[in-house]
Amino acid sequence: MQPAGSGLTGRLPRVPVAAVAAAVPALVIVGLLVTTLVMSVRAGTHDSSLTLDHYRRVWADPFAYRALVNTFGYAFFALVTALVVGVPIAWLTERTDLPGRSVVWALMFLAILIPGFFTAMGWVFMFHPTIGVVNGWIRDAFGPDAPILNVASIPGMGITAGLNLAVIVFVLTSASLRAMDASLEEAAAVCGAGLRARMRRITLPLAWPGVFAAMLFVVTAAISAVDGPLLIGLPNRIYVFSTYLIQQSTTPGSGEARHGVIAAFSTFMVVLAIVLTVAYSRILARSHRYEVVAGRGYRPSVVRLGRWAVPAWLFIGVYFALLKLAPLLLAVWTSLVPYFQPPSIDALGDVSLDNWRDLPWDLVQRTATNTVILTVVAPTICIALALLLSWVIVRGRGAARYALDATAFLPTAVPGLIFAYSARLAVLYFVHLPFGIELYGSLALLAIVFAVGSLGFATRLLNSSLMQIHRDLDDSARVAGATTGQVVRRVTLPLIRPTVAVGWLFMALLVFRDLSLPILLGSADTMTLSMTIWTEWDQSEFGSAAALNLIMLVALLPLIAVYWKLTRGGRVQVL
Amino acid sequence: MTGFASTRPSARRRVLAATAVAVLSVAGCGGDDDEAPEARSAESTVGEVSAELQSIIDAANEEGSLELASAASFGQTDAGEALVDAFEGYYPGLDIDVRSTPGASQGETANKVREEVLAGQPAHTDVLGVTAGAVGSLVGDDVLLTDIAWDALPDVQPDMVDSVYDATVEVQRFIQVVVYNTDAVAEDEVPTTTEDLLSPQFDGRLGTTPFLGGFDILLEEWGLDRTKEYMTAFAGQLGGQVGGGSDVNPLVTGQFDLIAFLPGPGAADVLKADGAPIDYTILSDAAMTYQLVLTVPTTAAHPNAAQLWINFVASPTGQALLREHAYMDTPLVEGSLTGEQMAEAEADGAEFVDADVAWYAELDQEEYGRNAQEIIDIVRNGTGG
Repeated sequence: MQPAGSGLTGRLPRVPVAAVAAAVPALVIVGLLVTTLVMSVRAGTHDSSLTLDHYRRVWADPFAYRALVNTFGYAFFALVTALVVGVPIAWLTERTDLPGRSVVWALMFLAILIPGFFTAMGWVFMFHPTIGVVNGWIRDAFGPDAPILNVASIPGMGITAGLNLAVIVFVLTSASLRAMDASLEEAAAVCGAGLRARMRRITLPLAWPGVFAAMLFVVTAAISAVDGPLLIGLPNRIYVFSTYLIQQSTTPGSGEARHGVIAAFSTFMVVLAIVLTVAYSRILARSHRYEVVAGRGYRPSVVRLGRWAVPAWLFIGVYFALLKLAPLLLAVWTSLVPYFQPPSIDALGDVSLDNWRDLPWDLVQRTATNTVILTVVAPTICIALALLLSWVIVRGRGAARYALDATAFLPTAVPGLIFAYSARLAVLYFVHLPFGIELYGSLALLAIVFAVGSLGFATRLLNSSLMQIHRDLDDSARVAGATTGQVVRRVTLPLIRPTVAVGWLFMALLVFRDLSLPILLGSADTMTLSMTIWTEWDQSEFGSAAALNLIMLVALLPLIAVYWKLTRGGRVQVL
Repeated sequence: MTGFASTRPSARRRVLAATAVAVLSVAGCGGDDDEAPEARSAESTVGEVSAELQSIIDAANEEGSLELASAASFGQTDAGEALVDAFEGYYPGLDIDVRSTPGASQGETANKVREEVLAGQPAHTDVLGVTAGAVGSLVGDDVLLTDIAWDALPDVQPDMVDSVYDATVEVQRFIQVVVYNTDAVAEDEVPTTTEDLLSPQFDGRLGTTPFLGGFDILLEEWGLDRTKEYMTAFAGQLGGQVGGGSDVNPLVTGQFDLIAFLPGPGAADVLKADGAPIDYTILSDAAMTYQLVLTVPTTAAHPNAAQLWINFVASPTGQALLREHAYMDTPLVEGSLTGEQMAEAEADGAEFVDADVAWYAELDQEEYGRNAQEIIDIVRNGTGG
């Protein structure tokens, strides 16, 4: 989180204008977090007196307290699972001679882009205590009292989330491992250290900043995720932060939503995010101690797997099968049968296309249109804002850019749901735009919140890219008479275009599949395809939900193909 | 794993229609109708148009559209679609765009509208479908229009309009029931009292609605302490909760064997008509009914179109469509299916508590809200897995 470009001394004409413009998204981020804080100490939406009652209620209310405890348990299991799966696969891919490593990249790439609720649905079909196919087989084989794999539990939900998030760990950790100098490991090997000792004392410490960054992402993403908690947790009355927030804000039972309690709960999450961010910054600040890459002769050492290649591939294969292949097959099956039932010869008689034929096509068309608009607009706003921010952060001078950089990073650590919730309250009660412009319930609000929530990711990406463009190029253009605008348009943008394109597309894919923000900010005008799938699922229309999920997957394929091409098989780093 | 092969998606959508709008509920004795009830006394148009009605139609045309959130239009269901399809043709000269959006439950919708109105924003739905228990607090917060000239709407019978606030029209009445899978629950196991639901044999086999349909009536009948004690034990029996539409499909998939506190037998009747091993029972010590009413939010963008919608749903045509697709209507109309079911249950000894808007208005709203929330939290409090 070092502000890129520190130490640069070049001029930045019209910095005040750019800086003021860049301050706008930063102020939005701060404003939304302040809204949360204010609501947590405000007596009510129409009562501005201050109180700490909401915090007391979080502790005193068993529902809120249990949701808080569940959240930590859920995040813990997600984190452990993601690390246990993601780090070894990254190591196998980057530091061993595992055959077919490009296939691993392809599989992981697909895994990150297929919606999380797709996996969650599949896991319900496989591991639900009463309707799970795998549990049915276990009971058939070992009797009705045999222990089962229960996805409807905090460990089950955490593991499901962790398997999805292992991809993020894989991507971030593999980047660190790839950038490592082999000389330290080779020196350790010469001194007699075995593979295990080298891993413990050399490889893992060197990879630690990348691993910690991955942990930060995983914890934030797990806390923010709604797919597993909604699909698996809610029907089984297992609440975590995301489902607590959604339910308390939309279905309080009777009377007004408990905004104060929700805000108090959210404040805990924001504090946790800030603590993690500070810890991450410190690790990054100390990471120079591990900087050993130098010169062009660098190459990472490769561990020969030998016969271990088979179990290594087995590990990867089982992971991918559990994560995507089995859910995919079950989704196809579920979309073809009238009600959910295990695949069997007998059930083949029930197979039909009724679920597909009976889909609410008008609604699908309407929500698909919203989804496409959102998929185009939100990443565009985000990239535009991020460009502005990164330009000021990298090319600017003065301490303010450090503050801008830190603020822009916050959405990486703060769950996006909190931004969405605060935005909803802000436009409902506090922010009134001129000229009769109403943001409440609009697609514009959803696009803005998506964009702001992705700024952390986008500015990291663009900061790195801008840092690689030497300021001399700007100066040369200016000497030739170019204005700042012309420098940006004709020098900077063409050079960073590949990064912008990849970043835009990656965000577009995430927006396309996202469920959490639409569900909180949704209205008739903003309903998305993912919300339609959730609506069908919530009404136990499993077949329709599965069919829509498959449609969504097919719709994603062209985007995925373009992304694949731009990133040369997913190897261009975007996270 | 239980299930039945003949449950078609269209049948399941009718199940949703039967329950899509219900959130609060209780009820004894399954009905035996296996055939879809006929549309009775239904006319496809409103008939003679009075000057008052014409002015409402003209004003609705001026408004140009009608926005219906799930609960007001019975969701993405056969009933909802049939109602929307038939609505416009019901009024001569009416030409507006009707948009129905499924998803949110009745409670979610009501809460959202309350927030919107309190914040001075236009309501996201022009018609609000709520159960009678929610009306008092919504009127108290000035969320509902209370000056609608219902007598200008020819199909809204005077006894459909609530006598306390003059703000709502009854369009369905829910008999609170326990629905069960007859393959999983033997005839001699079928619960007949609230105490039966606490039997160890049902531990983990029970599901319920997120809002415990009709529990608040128990609250008034039993008092807070007894209800809390009961609901704490009941929560311990639960295997989980059904979705926002409070549907009964989890009985078909085998997720649950029984679903308690379900609003109305319509969902069970739909599945029964398709051959599913589903039936329902009314608990003898919790025989109660409550209303689903339609009303117009204060900040509705299209209040005239909203009134036309309410009139249409209350009309013989609208009620016939509800009967045909959702198997539930209001006993206030001639040929009512729900009326027949209530009469049958009463003949079998059930003594219903009819919780209409007036019944709820008698309660101390603040105390009622507080206690109701406490009970919901007990059951919703969930588990750590």
